Amino acid sequence: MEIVKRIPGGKTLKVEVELEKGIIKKVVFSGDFFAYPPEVFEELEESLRYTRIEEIEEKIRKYHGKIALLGLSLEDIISTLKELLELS
Amino acid sequence: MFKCEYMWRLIVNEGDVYWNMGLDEAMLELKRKGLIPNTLRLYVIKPSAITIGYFQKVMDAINLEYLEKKNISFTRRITGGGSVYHDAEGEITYSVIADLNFIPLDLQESYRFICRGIVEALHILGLEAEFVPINDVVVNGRKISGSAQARRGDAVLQHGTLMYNTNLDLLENILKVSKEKLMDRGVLSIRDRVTTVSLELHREVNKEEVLEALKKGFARALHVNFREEDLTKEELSLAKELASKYSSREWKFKR
Repeated sequence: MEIVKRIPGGKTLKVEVELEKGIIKKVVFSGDFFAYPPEVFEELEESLRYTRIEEIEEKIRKYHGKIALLGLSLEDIISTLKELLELS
Repeated sequence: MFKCEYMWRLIVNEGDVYWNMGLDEAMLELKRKGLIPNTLRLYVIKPSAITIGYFQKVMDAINLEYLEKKNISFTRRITGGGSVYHDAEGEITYSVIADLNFIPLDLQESYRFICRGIVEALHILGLEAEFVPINDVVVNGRKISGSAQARRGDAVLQHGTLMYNTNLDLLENILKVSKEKLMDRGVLSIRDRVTTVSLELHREVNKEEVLEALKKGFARALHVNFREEDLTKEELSLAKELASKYSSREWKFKR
């Protein structure tokens, strides 16, 4: 499942999630935003593999201060992901 | 008046998209290692090609079927941002490769700082332009230039476009923009959102005058003087090596 959001005053974020029995198997964030360093952003994506839905917020927040973003924030990522999961 | 105390290297060249993206990355890497001077590169991507942002999905960013039909290449950049059509006959790409301490540390401010080179170049060409965050330069409300930045260690690479006579019909057919983005901008299509130097000046502007304006514009904005030089052996060999990554299916379809 997926969701596309245009962050107000920012960039486009697409979130794709593969869910299985309430477990997140894979998450992909894509769009025209900027994330520095890109490797750490990819590490964040990887860290969400095989995660319980309740744990994702905390896992993403761990990256505060480790990633600089332009066009969206970690909180935008969290709220978009939550919106997608609650829609399902 | 500012004194132009700093001497920067200027490189003007052209080549295919894989080699050019390889060269930009090679220069960032060699700058990180302290092996090359601060440099402005002005180049033409020839033949015309597409680059997409590091985090973009190919299928969301470009019309692949149309590209294949027209035999136009594309690759993924190491920088974020959106998809760009590099028209060999209507667009000049710039790269600034510099020590991080030359630019503002704040990301947004550093984009603004380097994009001043484009704003000044457009001023020289007779147009009033402004930087619009996050990474656009706009003339009369329409985008004429976009930029993207990568940082490694104490080095920065910012590359971007200046459309002087881009084929906007082709651009519109090639690039995909989400309906969310168009709605956010309050426009119906990409075409309504972008412009070129020729369209704004109501005459056909040629590459040479845009190159001249860019050289002067960046000299003013960065308070530097340029000396035109050649690429080093290391740059050439690393660019060649990296070009094969940029042409690989694995890299292009990373997302």
